[in-house]
Amino acid sequence: MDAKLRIEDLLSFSDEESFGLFMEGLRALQLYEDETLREQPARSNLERWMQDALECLRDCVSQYAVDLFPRFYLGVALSMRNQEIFVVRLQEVSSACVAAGQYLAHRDMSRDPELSSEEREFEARRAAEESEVARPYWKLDHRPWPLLKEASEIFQSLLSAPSSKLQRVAAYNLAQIYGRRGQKFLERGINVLNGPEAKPISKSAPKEVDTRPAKRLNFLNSLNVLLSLTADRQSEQRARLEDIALDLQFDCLRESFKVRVAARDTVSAPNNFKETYANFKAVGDRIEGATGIGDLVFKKDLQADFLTKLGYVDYERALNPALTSPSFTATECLEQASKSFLMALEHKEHWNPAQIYLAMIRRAQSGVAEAFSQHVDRRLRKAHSEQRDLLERERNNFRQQQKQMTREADELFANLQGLPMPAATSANSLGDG
Amino acid sequence: MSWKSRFALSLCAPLSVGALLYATFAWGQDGKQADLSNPACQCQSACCGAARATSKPPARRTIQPSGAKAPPSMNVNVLVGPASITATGVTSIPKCNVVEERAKLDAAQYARNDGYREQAANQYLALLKSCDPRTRVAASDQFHVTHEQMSSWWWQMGRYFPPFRWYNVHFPRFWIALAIAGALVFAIVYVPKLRVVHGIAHWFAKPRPGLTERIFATQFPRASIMTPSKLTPDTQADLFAAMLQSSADAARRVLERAGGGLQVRSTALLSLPSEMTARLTDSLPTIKRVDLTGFARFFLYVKRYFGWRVESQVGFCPPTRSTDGSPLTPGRLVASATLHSAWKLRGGPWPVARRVQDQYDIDAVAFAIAVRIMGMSRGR
Repeated sequence: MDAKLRIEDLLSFSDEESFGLFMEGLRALQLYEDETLREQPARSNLERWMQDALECLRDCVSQYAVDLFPRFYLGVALSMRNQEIFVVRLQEVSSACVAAGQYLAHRDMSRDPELSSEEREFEARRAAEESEVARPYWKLDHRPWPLLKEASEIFQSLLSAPSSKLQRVAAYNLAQIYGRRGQKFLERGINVLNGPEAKPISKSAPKEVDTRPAKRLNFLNSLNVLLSLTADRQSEQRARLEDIALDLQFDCLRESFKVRVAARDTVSAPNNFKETYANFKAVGDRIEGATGIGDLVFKKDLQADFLTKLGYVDYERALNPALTSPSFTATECLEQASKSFLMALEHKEHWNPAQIYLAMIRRAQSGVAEAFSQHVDRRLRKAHSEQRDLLERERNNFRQQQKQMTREADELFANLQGLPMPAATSANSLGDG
Repeated sequence: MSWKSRFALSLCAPLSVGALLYATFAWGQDGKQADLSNPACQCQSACCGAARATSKPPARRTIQPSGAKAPPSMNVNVLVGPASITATGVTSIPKCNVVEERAKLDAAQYARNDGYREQAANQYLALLKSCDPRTRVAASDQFHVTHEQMSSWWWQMGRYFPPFRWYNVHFPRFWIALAIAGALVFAIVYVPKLRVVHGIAHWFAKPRPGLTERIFATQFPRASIMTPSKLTPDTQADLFAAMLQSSADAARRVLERAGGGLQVRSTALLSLPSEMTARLTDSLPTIKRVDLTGFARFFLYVKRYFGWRVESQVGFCPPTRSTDGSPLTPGRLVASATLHSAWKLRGGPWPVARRVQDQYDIDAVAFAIAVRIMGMSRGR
């Protein structure tokens, strides 16, 4: 088929009904986004807008399969809906998540040279027990995620779209979804990101041709042309910045996948991980140093995205015993991860991906604090009277931390699901420290 | 003379061009009334009526009773008014200035021949009280003749469409002028040596499509919303029309926002590139609603009729409740719209029904209708 005709196909719709359904779906999706950005989203609104968006886009895609834009946004909407389901499932395995935190804390302590071998053995045993309790949480990746699967199929189909720009964006989204589907999909994600569809569009490549009939040059049209020249220049500038931002975004995702693959490989991990981790952080430096995109919202998007990925990499690093040591413990990894998520939220307030991972980390950190408070408790039982005050204060600190982390996690989960905030509990009233 | 006979004559006019030209230029040159003995006028009696209607008045003419010869000179004051008789005898006899009266009659005649027939009729009417009996008689005749012409259909319609008068008043010249204009256009268009004129005319005509487009909206960049029809009594039709317009703007904003950022806001997925959404937004039509009153409204409606217009119906179906007050069915808003230009149906109908909380909860339906209308420009 003629390339020109294909571009026209992309930009046009089968009929008014298709365009109408697409626009309704898109509007509902945007209203959903607006609701998530509110201080306290309402669950009824979240449900209504998501349902409307999915209904309209599904109708549109099922009736007008040749229209590409509705398909693209159906993929996005499915992914967003999956995010909601992920939050619900994460909430369901809250206790397992806490146990995962406890496991990490016990594992750290089992490798602490300051503890006696007997204590280390005990902590190792406790770590094994908690790991067992945390099994539902570990298995979260292995549960079926049909919406993600459907979304990945949609984006896969868009890789053959007639526009190289659309192909590229679809490739990114496909890789991103593979990244969410767990470790075993990472390789696929990297393949997509290295595929021909994801390659940057070279400047010498022929521009996609606008085949709309040229307007006759009369006086009024000439005026319009003059006015539109300015607008064209602005949109060209914007498209250029978008390309720069998109390149950085691709690099960020690609490098984050490589680190995560390296983090999984515990045999050759240390060197490989360090190298890929350094490469990944270099992307962050490039984002910080990118001056051309400073004035636009793109930079905040990029920064928030990088920090969220960095936090997630630190979280995965905490899970791998080969990548932690007494000098850089899993607990510290979690702390670092949470800082990254908080920074991401400073760039993009109420941004759901960062909120979800922060909630997850806070839950795990409450488990860590609980495990440490139990440990101090045990020490307290054996301690001399002069040490008791100190240990009691330490224990109370951990308990306070645990409560605080739990509260923060609860609040984040409530916010993500549009539920009323849990009753505030004063941190100072929780202990005597 | 009826319009049919004039039309028949106009058809045979090209055949007797010579005769008509002669008649035309004969009137034009000597300023005399058409001679009834003229063979061109004898072919149809109607011709004479036309000739009379288009003839110029004589340069200086006096009104004579039929059959009477005009006196050699009229510069004599004639006493014709009644004398007033008093006890002392005939004291004063009012004088009648016949010259002045005749001049007034001539002025009325000129006004009639110049086409100001209402003015001429008034002047004749005034002269019916003239002191000069001959002037009175002539004025009465001319008054009736003038009114007869003014009561014809072409004179009355000519108030709104002047070519009717041109055709009837300047009967043969009308066709000559038309023929000359046609010949000129034909020459400019088809004679190679006159192509330059053609080119210049074409260049000057260039803004025309743009202006036509602006004035009549022949294509679909704009559509006007006609006041929606209420299908049920408690429907907020005006609110619906207002929401329809704002929804059209909202649709544009939705598309702009879709391409406005790098990512879809609540996920880490990318949104569509701005270039694509910009091209989607490019050709969307605008849907406007303007309310005017009085005469402006009439013209606006005429313009809307020939432009693109949205006709819509909206109805609110209230929620139903069981006898114990529990809700049975939710409220629904049903709307439908069609797109017309003049008598042609251009798009639709687009029926939309949505669950709503009350009759004011209109935005979702208005948006759904608006985007379907706008989708007309995005369909294949």
